[in-house]
Amino acid sequence: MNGIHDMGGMHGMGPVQHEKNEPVFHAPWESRVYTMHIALGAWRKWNIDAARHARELIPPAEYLRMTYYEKWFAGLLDLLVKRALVTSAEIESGTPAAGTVKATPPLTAAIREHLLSYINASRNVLVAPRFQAGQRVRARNINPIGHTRLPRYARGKTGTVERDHGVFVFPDTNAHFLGEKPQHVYSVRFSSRELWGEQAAPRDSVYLDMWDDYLEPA
Amino acid sequence: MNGIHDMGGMHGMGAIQHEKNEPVFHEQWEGRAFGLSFAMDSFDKWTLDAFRHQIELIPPAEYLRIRYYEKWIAAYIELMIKGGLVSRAEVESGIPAQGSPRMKPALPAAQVPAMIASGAPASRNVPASPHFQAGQRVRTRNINPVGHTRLPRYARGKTGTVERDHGVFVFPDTNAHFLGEKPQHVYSVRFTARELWGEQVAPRDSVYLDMWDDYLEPA
Repeated sequence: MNGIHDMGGMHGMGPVQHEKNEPVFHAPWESRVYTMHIALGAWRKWNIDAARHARELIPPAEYLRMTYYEKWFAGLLDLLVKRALVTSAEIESGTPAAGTVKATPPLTAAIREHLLSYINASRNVLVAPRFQAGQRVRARNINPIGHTRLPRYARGKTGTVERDHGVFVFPDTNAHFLGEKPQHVYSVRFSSRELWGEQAAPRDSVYLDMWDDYLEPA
Repeated sequence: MNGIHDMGGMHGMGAIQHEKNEPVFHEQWEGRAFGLSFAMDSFDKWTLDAFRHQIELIPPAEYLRIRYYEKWIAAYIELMIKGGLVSRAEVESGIPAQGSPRMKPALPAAQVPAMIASGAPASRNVPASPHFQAGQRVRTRNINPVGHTRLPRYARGKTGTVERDHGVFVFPDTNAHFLGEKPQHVYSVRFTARELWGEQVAPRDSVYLDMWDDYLEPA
């Protein structure tokens, strides 16, 4: 999705504001949103890539207005409705629909495996790598309406595989419940000049994590 | 400037809302904003391209929240301050600073109809040799200036075909920053949708873009 979240290379966003001694949460409600995310994730109705995509779907003007955990909360509400854990009417009223059964929270010690796999995207399965360190590759020019981790500014650009990170879940399918499609992920080096043109510093580079499906031989 | 205004190819902006029998102005203040802009332009303190760039400089969250003529007002306030016509304090208070002389309007009422009729054409009747010809293959430069440009992000580094030469026009990239009009040829360049958006798009679709000479190199 060529959404507002894909900000690499954009001007006009203002300087990054560094906060000294930044706390983990700025307000108690932020930690509640974080915890709700984990508790509700335990229902296994979505995965981390679907959660990321839900945040990308926040309307752009809202996306830019909101703080970080406001985006988490908005994404969570979207997932809850789409995956039928609650209805929009229930969220708006704050009251369960008549006759709704009280659910038993699934977040128990036994769900630990799932929670870990939710966070850890590496997979211990045998998949042949399509590329090797040192190889020249070109990022595909894809513009999917769904989730992708291939930023707009790198599409169609040529770089060099610097290392093979191993096998990982493919976010583009996983976000849409189309399977994990585990595949090799590489650190690919792109020169700044390849990405941004002749005006960029000649010695600068950008390293991007590229899934096998994003690449073709250059 | 790779700003929020450069929306070509973006998803997630929602459907275009077509308004039947759309009025020129939706509210009276919009007409006033439009009139004010002409009156202020007549002081000759900025260019059309500088105005467009000023709109691009609106912070992105604001840019997406505010409406068309709200963007105009926001930009004109900044242009008038930069051009020394008013101070920020005067804009905020709505009151002229003590001792400000009353200005003579640069656009007398009698001149308004002629000005509206002639508009502000960007074409220039000066000789400039074209770098390219119809039928020629060209590649757009990969430029990412912090200033104004009319070369959209999605068309940079792409190959297309010159379809026609529109003639000689002001170059917005310099004119927006008061670096001269640098008149040059502008071409209609055809890019296949596949060149721009990849193999997933319709094979027969094309996008035609107006490209200034300085945006192009031979392919």
